[in-house]
Amino acid sequence: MNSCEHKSRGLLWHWPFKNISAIFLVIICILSSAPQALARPIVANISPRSVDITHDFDGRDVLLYGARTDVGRIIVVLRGPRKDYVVRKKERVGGLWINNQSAVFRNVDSFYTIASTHNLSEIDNNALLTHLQIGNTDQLIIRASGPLTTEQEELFRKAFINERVNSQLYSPDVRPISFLVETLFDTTLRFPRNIERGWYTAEVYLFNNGQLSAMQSTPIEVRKKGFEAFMFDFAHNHAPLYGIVCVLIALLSGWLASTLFGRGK
Amino acid sequence: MTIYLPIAELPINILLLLGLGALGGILAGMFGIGGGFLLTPLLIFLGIPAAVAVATSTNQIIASSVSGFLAHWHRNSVDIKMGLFLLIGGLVGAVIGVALFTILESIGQIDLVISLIYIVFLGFIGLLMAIESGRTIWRNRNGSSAISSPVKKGRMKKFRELPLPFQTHFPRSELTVSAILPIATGVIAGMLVSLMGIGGGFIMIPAMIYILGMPTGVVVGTSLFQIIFITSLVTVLHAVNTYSVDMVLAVILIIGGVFGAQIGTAIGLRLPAEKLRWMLALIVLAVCVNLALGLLLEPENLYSVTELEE
Repeated sequence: MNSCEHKSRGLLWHWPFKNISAIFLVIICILSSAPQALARPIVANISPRSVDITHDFDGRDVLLYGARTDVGRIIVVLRGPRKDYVVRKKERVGGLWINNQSAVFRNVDSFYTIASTHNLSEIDNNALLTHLQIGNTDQLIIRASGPLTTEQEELFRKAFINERVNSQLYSPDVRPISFLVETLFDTTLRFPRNIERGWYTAEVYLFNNGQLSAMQSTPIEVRKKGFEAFMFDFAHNHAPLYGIVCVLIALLSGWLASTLFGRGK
Repeated sequence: MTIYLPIAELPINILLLLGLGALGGILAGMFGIGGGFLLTPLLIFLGIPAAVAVATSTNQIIASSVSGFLAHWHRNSVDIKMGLFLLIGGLVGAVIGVALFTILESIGQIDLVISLIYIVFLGFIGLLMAIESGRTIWRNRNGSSAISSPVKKGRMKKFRELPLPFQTHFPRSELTVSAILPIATGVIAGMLVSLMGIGGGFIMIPAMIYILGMPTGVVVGTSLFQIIFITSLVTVLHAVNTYSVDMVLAVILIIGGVFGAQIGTAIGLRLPAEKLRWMLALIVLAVCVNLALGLLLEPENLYSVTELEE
């Protein structure tokens, strides 16, 4: 379901080449033949295109690289599966600290990291950046549903972003984008060790004079692999059978233990 | 040595978990109790989500109950008929308990309720045991040879004398009581199994002795008999309703528990009974105080974030 939502949301087109030399080659061909007729002002690819979570998974860097044929400032955003969250606040009730007030945030990126060639303020079009949901983590617009005052909502929003930053799922720093030559750029973004599985998107924006002149979105899948994936899927997709297997294992090992050690109390 | 727990979704040291399982097993061996009441809070202290801790402890208890039950079965100290009546109530209680658990989890109060129930029960039982065993130790030290803690069976006799229907005879216990009493006892125990991740032996056993008036020789075996079925049902219900049974965690705890039980039995045979009860009382009270502080002291972070499942 996630992948469908993803596709309808932002996938413009795919760059079909998987390695950097192919890109170089294509760009050289294009530039030498007809530079004025170039249809796409910015192209990019990401490597790897999928990330596997295994038992010793400790986070993973992904390399995003591409070329621009137009002047402008580049912003790269890597963000991932939209989810609904509830933020609860503990308050003192009758001497006990218990969850009391809460706010629900719907359809929020569970993961967010950003890289840029320039300081974000230099783009000089806040309305556009807000619309595209681009910014420092503390500028992200996340709306709560529920009967809250603006002040309360702001506190819950901050608490949510704080929690994301603390668990390394939102990165508060804007990472740099480096240029190999005037037209070729690359940047490294990181999936932390606690990344959730699902479909993520790498979005590349080219801004010129405060206007968006090009955009490309590339999907990247994070998936569990091996035994962990098997157990997780088993528990979620065949819950009754999984429960019964758990019970059988316990029954059997209890019987085994009493046979082996002959608990003759 | 870390292992990634697929359902709890976090990496954790495998030796720590084996040790925890062994600790539960040692307690089981020493005191003849399941140890679930200590295992669940300790798993939560390690950072395992409360729901996973409760559901997985329940799964682990099945194994230790089977071993214990088999030992009693060979000695013919199980009242199967009484066990079946307790079981009927227990199954109903377990279903109610899991439904409650799911509701409480969705409104964000499951951690609070689990803590509160633990504090009340552990505090009550810990104090009773501390007073009783302390008195016995004191008396023994003063040279008095009074028989320690005679079972006051008569105290709750009025429950059995209530004019309730469905009077039933239980040959193994040489007892005739209304079937409603064991069923009601089972309902309460079953609810506690689902909410607390324990076998419920420490509630069932006093209830069977004082309320039902069963002979002490058959209560442990009979309680283990019905605990096997209740914990099996609750494990499956948790697996289906909350997806919170972690098979990997359960297997590690079971392995630790099997070896711990051997150690515990050996220790238990060497120490006098009232000293054992006194130690257990202190452990129970320590867990109780720790849980209470968690509710009473201001937490470092007031906010918590939970993903909403559709």
